Amino acid sequence: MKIKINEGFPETEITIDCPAATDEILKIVSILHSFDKKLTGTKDGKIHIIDIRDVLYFDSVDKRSFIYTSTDVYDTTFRLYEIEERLLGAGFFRSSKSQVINISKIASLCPDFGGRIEVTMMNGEKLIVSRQYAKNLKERLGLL
Amino acid sequence: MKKLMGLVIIIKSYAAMGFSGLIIAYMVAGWIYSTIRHEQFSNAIPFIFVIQGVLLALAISVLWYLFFTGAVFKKLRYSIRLIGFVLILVLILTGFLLMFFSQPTNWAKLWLIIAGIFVSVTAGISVLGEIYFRMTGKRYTQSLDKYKKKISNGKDEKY
Repeated sequence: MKIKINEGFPETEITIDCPAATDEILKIVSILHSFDKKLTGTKDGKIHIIDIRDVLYFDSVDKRSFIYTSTDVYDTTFRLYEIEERLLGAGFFRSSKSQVINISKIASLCPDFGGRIEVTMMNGEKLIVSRQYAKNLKERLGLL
Repeated sequence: MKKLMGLVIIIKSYAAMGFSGLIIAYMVAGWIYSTIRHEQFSNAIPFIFVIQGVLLALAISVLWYLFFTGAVFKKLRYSIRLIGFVLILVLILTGFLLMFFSQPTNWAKLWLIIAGIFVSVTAGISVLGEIYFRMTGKRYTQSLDKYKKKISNGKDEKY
């Protein structure tokens, strides 16, 4: 596979020239799409574009959803299930009825009482995976 | 309100475990104590003991929550938390002893034995639990790291 990078263009455009759209090519496309996934959030009345790789987790309180990064908290108009759908394949998981966590931003995991899992995020914040969703996480990590 | 209810449920489940443990300790210690003293063990729990059991279980559950769940003492070393927990528990038990058995009786001795067993078992469970949680947590984190590598390479097709 040859990879060429041509600099000096105003926008980033990726073209794949190949004999056929094989599974491998589709995987590459899927990864590229996940890199392009961005969200918009508002903070202090201003709209911000947030790279999903910077998101620690999403939280929903009183029908309002929030985006948490290591430095800021943004409001978002998306409902949690919409966020979950949009982030499919981007390394996020539902940790409770009101939270979606970015796996790549987790520093460590520890079992907790009652079948729950305590998650320590890279910024030191501790979150809880409820018993209902702990099984899915364990399955995903190959622990079951 | 939601937070408060969550806290009540945690305290209630710890208290239920504590009360069960206390009753088991009473049955075992009562039977051993009466065997040693060649006395008849009545197999009935005195009402005062049940009241103490409930109060003690509640006190222990609050202590457990404060010391071991990370809700209050997040960064304190485990050994220090354990010492603090046992010391306060011994103080509470001594208070109970003075309050309920101001006159020296056989029951007070039995109660002391039960309290001793209870403190040791609670401390033991706490130590074993901590070891288990740490070991399991290490295994979970190792799996997490492997999974992170997997997703960074785009190898997780399922999710």
